[in-house]
Amino acid sequence: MRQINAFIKKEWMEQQRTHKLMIILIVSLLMGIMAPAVAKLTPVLFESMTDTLAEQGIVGIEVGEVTAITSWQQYYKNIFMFVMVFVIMYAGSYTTEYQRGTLINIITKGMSRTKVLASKLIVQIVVWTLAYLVNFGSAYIYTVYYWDNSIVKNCIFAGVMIYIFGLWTIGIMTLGSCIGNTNMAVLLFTGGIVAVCYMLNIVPDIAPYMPVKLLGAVELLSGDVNPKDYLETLVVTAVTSVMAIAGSIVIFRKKKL
Amino acid sequence: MINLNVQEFLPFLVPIVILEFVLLFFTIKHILTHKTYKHGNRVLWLIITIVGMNYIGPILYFILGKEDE
Amino acid sequence: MDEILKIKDVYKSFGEKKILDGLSFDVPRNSVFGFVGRNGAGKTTTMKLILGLYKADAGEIFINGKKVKYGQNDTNKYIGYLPDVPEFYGYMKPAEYLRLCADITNIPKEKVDDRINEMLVMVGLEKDNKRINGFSRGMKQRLGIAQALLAKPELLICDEPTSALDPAGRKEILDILKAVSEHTTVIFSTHILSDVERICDNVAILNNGRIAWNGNIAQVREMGGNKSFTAEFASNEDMNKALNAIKTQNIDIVKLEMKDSNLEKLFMEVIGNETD
Repeated sequence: MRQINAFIKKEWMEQQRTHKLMIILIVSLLMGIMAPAVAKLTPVLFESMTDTLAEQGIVGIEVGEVTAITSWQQYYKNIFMFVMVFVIMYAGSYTTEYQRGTLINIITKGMSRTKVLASKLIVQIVVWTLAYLVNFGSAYIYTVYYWDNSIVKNCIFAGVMIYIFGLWTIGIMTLGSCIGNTNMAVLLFTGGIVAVCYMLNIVPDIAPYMPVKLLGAVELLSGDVNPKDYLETLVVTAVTSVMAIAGSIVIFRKKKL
Repeated sequence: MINLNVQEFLPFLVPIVILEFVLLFFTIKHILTHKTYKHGNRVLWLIITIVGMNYIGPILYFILGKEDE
Repeated sequence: MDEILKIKDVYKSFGEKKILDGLSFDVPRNSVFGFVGRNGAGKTTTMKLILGLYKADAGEIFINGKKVKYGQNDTNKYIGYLPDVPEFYGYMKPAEYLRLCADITNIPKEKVDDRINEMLVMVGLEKDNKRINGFSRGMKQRLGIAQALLAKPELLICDEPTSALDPAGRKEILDILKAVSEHTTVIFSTHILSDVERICDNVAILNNGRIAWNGNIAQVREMGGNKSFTAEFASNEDMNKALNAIKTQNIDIVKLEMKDSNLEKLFMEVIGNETD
């Protein structure tokens, strides 16, 4: 336990002193505020443009009434981008250590590789949790402040789906980090898996089992789709996450550092 | 003309402006206080940071420009 | 059992390239063991095998009688390791890094502070309380020794600890190694032969993946029935006095120069014979 604690402390210090934590939190907050801001601004922009458009003969564009749903739609439109920023920022967590050889000292001191992996995993999960809380929280606060959020169904549940997708991504990224040796390899691996999921997502029979379905959680908000429909997806996501981590441990224990 | 009720937008504007400037100044300070970068050079990173100041610029710098410590 | 380290018939190739070809040697306890070989002879590979960082194709390695297993590190608790280019987390300060090491090696909590201080003083870094980022090669090397010795290991393995340093830095490191050899067995690899002669008790010369010569430094000194010696004086004044004495005593000196050391001669011989 003392080893894991010490290594977590080291990882956390890294988060602070290399300013990673601060940057991801600022970006989380910015992206969180931006969604309701854009939703709020859109009709104003359209209004100002109506005259110009009318001159060009374009008329009759109706901007639908902006509601809390509009704000959330804007939020979910950018959520993939947010997950991507997180992945790009953390893809180097292992590979930088491989390339600089900093882990060798730690391993030769008798720390088991599984514990190294566990510590990194814990810190990444904590950072993702904080970042997502800030991101979702700021979007939520602003939406509630400007609109009536009671018309939004499954608001928190949909957010949790994204959170879980983030956890799954961390699992895939960890597996990639144990297989690959460079930052780029980890990004390609993670991106590749997500891309394959997206492609399979087109096939209606397979779609419900693809973790990327979680990213489309915006469909829950209108209430037309039931949270129950996410059961299979959640099971698959959980199982593949556990498999990714188990595979990571096996590979990492044999990895040449 | 844009018929904007500024009051209504202040709750957005204030934090967004503050955050973007914090991020911008922090990044510029980091660029100016470091001589070597993973890729690129000082001028390039200053341009990227300022052009993409909404957050893309600083993020690019911290991922591709900042040297590992 | 008085061997801390036993290497038996170890083979290791990287792809087509054969690095170790039946390597065997023992290291007796409480000695300074010099591991000499050309660049690329397999010194670092051997050390990484000892540490369980590489998997041997064949053969066995024992530390304290316990077999080394690849990927596991039970035997590493006896070892302190100084890599050739020690790399640390640049955002940490030396004391913070040593604390991380102390926690990982399970040094009793009440002793950690004292031990860290002791190490920092020993390597002369007690005043450099800044981030490791700003450290010079020599300072990193010294921090490397501090982290390697922190847990008071029975065996200290140093990979080319002096190669990248200037003469002053080298002397500092060698003095530290000599000092710790009182209670720790030290293995160090190098291609700087004068360093070996300075502090080692035993020497092994690695060539073509095998030990080409292995023995006591005293044996090296005895070789070739010396009529020559190297003298190092405390000052110029002393040296002049000695030279004057030679002159006044009418001692016949054939040649006066820094001579090739015996070890160097031996090294060239051994390597020459093998490659011919």
